[in-house]
Amino acid sequence: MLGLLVRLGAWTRLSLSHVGNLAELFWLLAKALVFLKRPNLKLLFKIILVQVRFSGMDAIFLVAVIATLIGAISIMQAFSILTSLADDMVGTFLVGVIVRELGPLVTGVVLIGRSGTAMATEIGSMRLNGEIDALLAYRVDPLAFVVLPRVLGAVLSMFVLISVFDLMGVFGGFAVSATLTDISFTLLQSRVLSALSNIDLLLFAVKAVLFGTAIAMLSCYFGLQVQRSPTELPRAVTHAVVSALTVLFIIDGILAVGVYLI
Amino acid sequence: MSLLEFKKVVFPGPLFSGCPPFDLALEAGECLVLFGRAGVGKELVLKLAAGILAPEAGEVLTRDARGKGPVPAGYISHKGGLLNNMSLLQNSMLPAVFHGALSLRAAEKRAKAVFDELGIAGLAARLPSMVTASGRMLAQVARALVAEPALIVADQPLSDIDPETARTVRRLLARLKADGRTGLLVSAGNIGPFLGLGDRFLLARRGRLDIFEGKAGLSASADPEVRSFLTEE
Repeated sequence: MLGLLVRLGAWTRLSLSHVGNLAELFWLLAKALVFLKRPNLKLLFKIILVQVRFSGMDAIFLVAVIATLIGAISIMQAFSILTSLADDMVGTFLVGVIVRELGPLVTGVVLIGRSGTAMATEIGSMRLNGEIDALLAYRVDPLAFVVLPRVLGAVLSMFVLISVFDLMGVFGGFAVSATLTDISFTLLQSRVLSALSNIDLLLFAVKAVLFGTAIAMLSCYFGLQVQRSPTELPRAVTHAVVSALTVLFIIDGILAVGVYLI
Repeated sequence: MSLLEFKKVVFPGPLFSGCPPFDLALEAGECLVLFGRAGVGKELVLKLAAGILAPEAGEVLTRDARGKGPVPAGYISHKGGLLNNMSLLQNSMLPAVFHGALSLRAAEKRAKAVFDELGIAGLAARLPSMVTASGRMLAQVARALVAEPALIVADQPLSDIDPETARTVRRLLARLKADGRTGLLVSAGNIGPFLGLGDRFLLARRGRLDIFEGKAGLSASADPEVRSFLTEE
């Protein structure tokens, strides 16, 4: 029992130190963004575009396929469980399930799997290859050019990918609904649009920013923890994935409760 | 005023645990070659000099005697040393742009001219992961030439690259030294290529750092470890 308490205490202490370090990292990134000189921002912008191409553009096809399937499967299940699912409820269902919840969540999981792992590995390798050391020697802030473009790139990518997911998910739902019922595309489209509220648009933006920031920051943070050996890389990636997934679902849960209470 | 000063430095970690507080000064136009077997702590000395690590006690001071100031030290690493999310050209521009020494356009112009001179203009738009170790090394040299730091710290700059690139890098280091404004601290596993370049030689071994004055001082030494390095050559 005592051993369990000791382990729990150590885990709590470690978790709190990670939270403290992440808060410091966030503060330093915000400072770097605010105080960067104009030519640096131009350079940063070019790096962000590279990041968006990898994290966002290159993932569009994957997200589109997953979204279409999830949209189709969800609406099929809804029809089979709720046999009396009225035509006018299809729009509400698609907005509630796809746009509000699954879009940001599944996109976040895809971002973790594709880009979060890559970020943790890349930054860990950069530590091992002396890339960060070279920047420190030149007195160049590594956070501004290593972490910041990845975080901003991830946020922009989330906006792109969630939009793609929502469009394709709703399209998948449309396709199944049109097959199983007599409802027309035009009618379905108007049902979805009328079901969309300002809260949904706000949630879309908030989730894109929070999920993108959390995923990129955690991935970069655990990548930066790599010190000496390549054997630390897989551990850093595992930590990054597990913590990013946990935080993703926690944020989503908090937002869902918040919206429910509103 | 020295470009680099170690003042009663106590090294962190166990590698130089028996070493008394260490003093060293490096002047502009001087080249100090650090050599020794693998794992004796050469990289540690370089990182202290470059300001990447702090000493356990004492001070490491870097000054830009030219008064240009913004980039006191540059680092060239045989391991890579370039950011993978930027092209080689952008990497070479970064320190000068970051410190406001050059505008983005001026840095790009200068970097392109340096790339032309080094014969790597065709690699400018590539990411570091897309070129060979020789290309990466030349891009690091280009970065140092664009940023013009007062002190250049180079970690085994001639290892893992082809002989022709090694000759180019050595020639450029010699040119930097000859301009009389830049100080060089270079580590080497094989001192042969640096015998003509080094003004002083610093031998690192477990718990000790010994200085030798010039090639003559090195040749006159009866130290078996120095002899073994010279014999290897």
